[in-house]
Formats: sequence, structure tokens, C-alpha cells
Amino acid sequence: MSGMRRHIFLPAALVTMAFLLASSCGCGEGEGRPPLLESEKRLEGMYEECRTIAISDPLGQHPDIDIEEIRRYENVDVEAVLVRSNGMEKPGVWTGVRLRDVLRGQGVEEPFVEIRIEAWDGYVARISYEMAMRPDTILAWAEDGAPIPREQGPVRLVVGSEDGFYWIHRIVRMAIER
Amino acid sequence: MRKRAVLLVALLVAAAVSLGVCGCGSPSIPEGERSELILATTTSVLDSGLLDALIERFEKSHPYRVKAVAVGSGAALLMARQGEADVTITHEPKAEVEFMQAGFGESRREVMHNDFIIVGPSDDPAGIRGMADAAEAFTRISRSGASFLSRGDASGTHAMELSVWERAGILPAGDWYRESGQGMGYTLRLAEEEGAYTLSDRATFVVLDEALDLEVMVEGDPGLLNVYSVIVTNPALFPDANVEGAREFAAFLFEKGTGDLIRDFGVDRYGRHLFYLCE
Repeated sequence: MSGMRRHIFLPAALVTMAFLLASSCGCGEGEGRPPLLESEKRLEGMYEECRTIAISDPLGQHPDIDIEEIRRYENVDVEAVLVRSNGMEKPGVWTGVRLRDVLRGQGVEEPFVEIRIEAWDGYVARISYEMAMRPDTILAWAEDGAPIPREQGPVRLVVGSEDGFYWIHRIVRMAIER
Repeated sequence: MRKRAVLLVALLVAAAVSLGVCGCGSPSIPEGERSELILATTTSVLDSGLLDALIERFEKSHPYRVKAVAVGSGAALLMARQGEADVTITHEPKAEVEFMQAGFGESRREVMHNDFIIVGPSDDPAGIRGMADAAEAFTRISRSGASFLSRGDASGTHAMELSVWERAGILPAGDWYRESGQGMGYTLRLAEEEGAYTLSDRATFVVLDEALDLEVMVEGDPGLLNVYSVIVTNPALFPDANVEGAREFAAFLFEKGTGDLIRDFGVDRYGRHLFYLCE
């Protein structure tokens, strides 16, 4: 091959190969395994990211809290009924720590108006100060003695006095609103 | 000559890079001129692939950056009730009507529909294959003791399933009736593992069909119609909502081009329609 042709052909071939490799990566989940749905693919990394909950407050930032620290608060069992949007009720015993204990431990001044709780997937639920301070409002990691499903993240909120919409899971942030 | 060779290679590199760059957002609308539009919707719209296609089309010609939150219908409506969503696409008509009656929405329009189907193992232990009445099929399943796996997660699919049990006059309970508590993909895979029947929206089943050893057992029951509606959040209650964006998005769903997209979506890849337009 002449010198000039070599200057053109080799780099062009390398570029083309790189492009073809780049455009084919990331597809498929491997032979023999059922494909994941888009909503499932987007959960990648969720569990680890939900291991730390940020707490924001107009009065000043509070330290993030991770799951291990949360679990060091007094553990409680709350018997509650998860009421679903269709009216179906699911009684159970959830194990966790009182939300008010965590907030106080992190230095959140009382009272406040409400907490805007954000989930990893963008879902948001707001709970009032009164709801947050109830003894049956907990950050739970177990249901009926077994860990909550991994899809729900390391902890979920259990609001014993309210229906299931407030029982938010995959929590990443709690924003205090005053 | 050498310079010409270098220039040619540089052009090839530039062409390769520009072909490999994904088209995120329209180049004609600068990012700084886009406002955020929060759309709360369901996982079935996401998992079918339609959600991403709609957003991509919408963003090409509208100055918004759509933040899509895909949760259950009930959760999506709660977000809107709290002013956390500007617009919703959900498929739980009863909850939507209640939402509107409570004054949380400015407008509600039915956009598209498909259906729910009962799927199950190919050996069909309950003998329901080909039935057109879902309540009768559920009755046979419960009498046969064959396994049924419910979503059990307050999703629109779960609500539909419960309505069928109600029509059948059956309160499902027993070892044969279990709940996955999780999404449709997980539930379908678990149903396959356990040889159980389950109720699925057709679009999600079609997406996973080739990889699953489950078959469509019951379809065509008018009671299994799955209607998706768009609701614009009421600005009178939530003045901070992006109501202009929400109205534009709702109107966009009824444009002819969008209608063509919805109607034809999935035909190339799966050989069948995943959604039908509401007339």
C-alpha cells in the first residue's frame, strides 16, 4: 500500500470500527435472560443511591443520614393497615424507627409546616408536621419480619394514620418546609 | 497530499462522531428557553416505549423539558393532588373521575386504549383458554385451585384485576392466590416461574412476550378495556403549576401526527398495535 493510501485507510478503518463498536454497546441483557422493562432498567443503582437520605431545611442544611445510622435509633414495630387506592386493605407489622426521632436526631427544629419527601423515581409525597410526629410514622425496613422488597429501596415510609399514597419508598430526600 | 489525507481523516472522524451523538432535545429550541413540565404517568406507558417517543416528539416543537415520573395511576394522581405534577396520563377511570369531581383537574380527555389480558402457562390447568368472559375465567381459576399471581400493588392493573374478582363475586384468598407486590415485568416473570395465571396490560406483555413462556388465555372482554386519559392540573388550586405547558401537552396528544405515532407504535417491532386511539 502506498504511503498516502496508508495515511487515509488505516485511520478511517479505525474510526469506522470504533463507531460500529460504540453504536452496538449497551444492548441486550445477555443470552438466555429475559429482557428488563424500561422501568426496571431505570432502577439500576437505585438501591445504593437510596441508602443515603438528604435532609434540607430553610433554616440550614442538616447532615445526610445513611441507612446504618437510621437503624441505630430505637427500633419499633408498628401494626398498621396499608390502604390502597382501590380501597383494599393490607394489615401488617412494619419494623423501623420513628421519623420524629430521626428528624430530632438530625437537628430539625420544630415545629415546621410539612415535609416534602422525594423518591428516587421522582415521586413526591407531602406529609404534615402532625403526621410526621406521630409515633406510628416510621422509616421501615421490614414487613412482617421480612425485609421489604428490594424494589422499594432500603427503607420506606409507613404512615399508620394515612392511606398508602403517603407510604413512600425509595426515599432520597426529605425537604422541611416552613 | 499529506495535508489532504489528514483533512479527509478529520472529516471522517467528525462524521462518525456526529452520527454517534444521540439527539437529545431539539437543536432548534435552546435549553435555556425550555421550562420544566412534570408529567406523572404509569409504568405501562413507559415500558411500552411510547412515553419516550411522545416526549421526544413533543420536545422537538415545544419549549419544555418534560420530567416524566412513572409510578402507579393512583400515585400519579396523588402527585397532581399535591401540586407536584402539571399533567398526568393514567389508566384508572374511577380514580380520575373522583379526582376531577374533587376539583383537582382542569380537564380530562381520553387519549388511547388497549386492553388487559389474562395470561397463563401453556398447559392451562384451569381450562380457560379462548374464553371471552374474564369473570368466568377467574371463577374457573379459583375453583380449579390453579395459581393466580396478583400485582397487589394498587396499580391500575391491580385495580382492574380486583374489579374482575368483584364481578365474579369472589374474594380471592388461599394458597393459590398470591401477590407479587411489584411491577408488571417482575410479576410476569414470576408467573412464568410458578406456572401461574396473571392479568397484564397487553402492551407490556407484548414487549416481553418472546422471552416468556406464557400465553394469552383470555382476551376481548369489554370489561378489560384499558383507557388512558390525560388530565391537566387545575391552576386555580396550584398557581405554580406549568399549566400552559400542561395544556400544550394535552393538545399535542390529539394532533394528527401524534395520533399516527400512537396508533402505529410497536407495529414495526412487534408486528401488532400496542395502543388504539380513543375516538
